[in-house]
Amino acid sequence: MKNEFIPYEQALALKELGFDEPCFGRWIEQDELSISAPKDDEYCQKQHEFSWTALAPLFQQAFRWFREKHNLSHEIQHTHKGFYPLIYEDNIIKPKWVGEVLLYKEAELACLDKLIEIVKNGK
Amino acid sequence: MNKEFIPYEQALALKELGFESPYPIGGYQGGKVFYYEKGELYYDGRPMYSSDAHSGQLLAPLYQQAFRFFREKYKLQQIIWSGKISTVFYGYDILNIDEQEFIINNSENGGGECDYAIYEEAEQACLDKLIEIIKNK
Repeated sequence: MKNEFIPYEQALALKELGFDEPCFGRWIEQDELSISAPKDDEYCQKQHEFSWTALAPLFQQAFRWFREKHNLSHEIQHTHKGFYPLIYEDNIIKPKWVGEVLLYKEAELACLDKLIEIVKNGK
Repeated sequence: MNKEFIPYEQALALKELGFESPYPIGGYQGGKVFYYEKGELYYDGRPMYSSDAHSGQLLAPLYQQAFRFFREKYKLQQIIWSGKISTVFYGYDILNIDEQEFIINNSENGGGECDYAIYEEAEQACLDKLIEIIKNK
C-alpha cells in the first residue's frame, strides 16, 4: 500500500513548500508510514510541527496540488522504450520539461522531483 | 477526501472487469479499507467484511489505482492534457501501449467531446471510455 503515497523525502519537501491538506497517511520517519483516515487521526488533518514528520499525500493528491496551486501540470507519455514525464506550465502546449524514458513508477517520481525543484527555485 | 476515489458506478464496472486491489488501504492492523456499501463511501475505519459478494460491499479504488489497473492489465495508458485558447480546457487520449497506437486521440482531433472545463471531468470521462473500450472488446 505504501506505493500509493509519495515517499518520505518528497513528502518532507512538499511540507516545506506549504502542502497542508488532509491525507490518508503521514510519514513518522523515513521508513514509517502511518496509514489512517483524516477523520480518525488529527495528525492526518494537518502538518505537525515536528520537522521529521510530514503528511503523506497520494501521488494523485500531490500532482493535483502542483496543478492547482502552482499551475504546473504533468503527463506521463509512452514510447516503445518506456514511459517519460513531461511538465507544463500555465497550460502552455510546449512542455517546460521533458524527462528521460523510465519505468512508469520511476517516471512519476522523477516528475515529482522536478516539480519540487521548479517550485523551490521559484519557477 | 471522497474525490480521491472513483465513483460507485465506475467501481462496480471495474469489479466486473476484474479489478482487485491486493493492497487496500489498511489501518493499524490492516483492518481499515475504503469501500462502498449501498452506494455510499466509507473511509472512517469501519472494517470491510472479508467477502464483499454477499455483504453488498465493494472496494473503492483510488483514481491512480484504477488507471494503473488499465495500464497493467489491459496495456492502456491514459493521458490527461490541458490546453488554453481563451480559457483553460482539459481532455484525454488513450494509448495502446503494446502497439504504440492511440485508440483515442482527442488532442490531435481537437474540440468536440474532448473539452472539459475541469481536470477531474476529463479524468472521469477518460475512465468511462476505458471501461467502454474493454467492455466492447
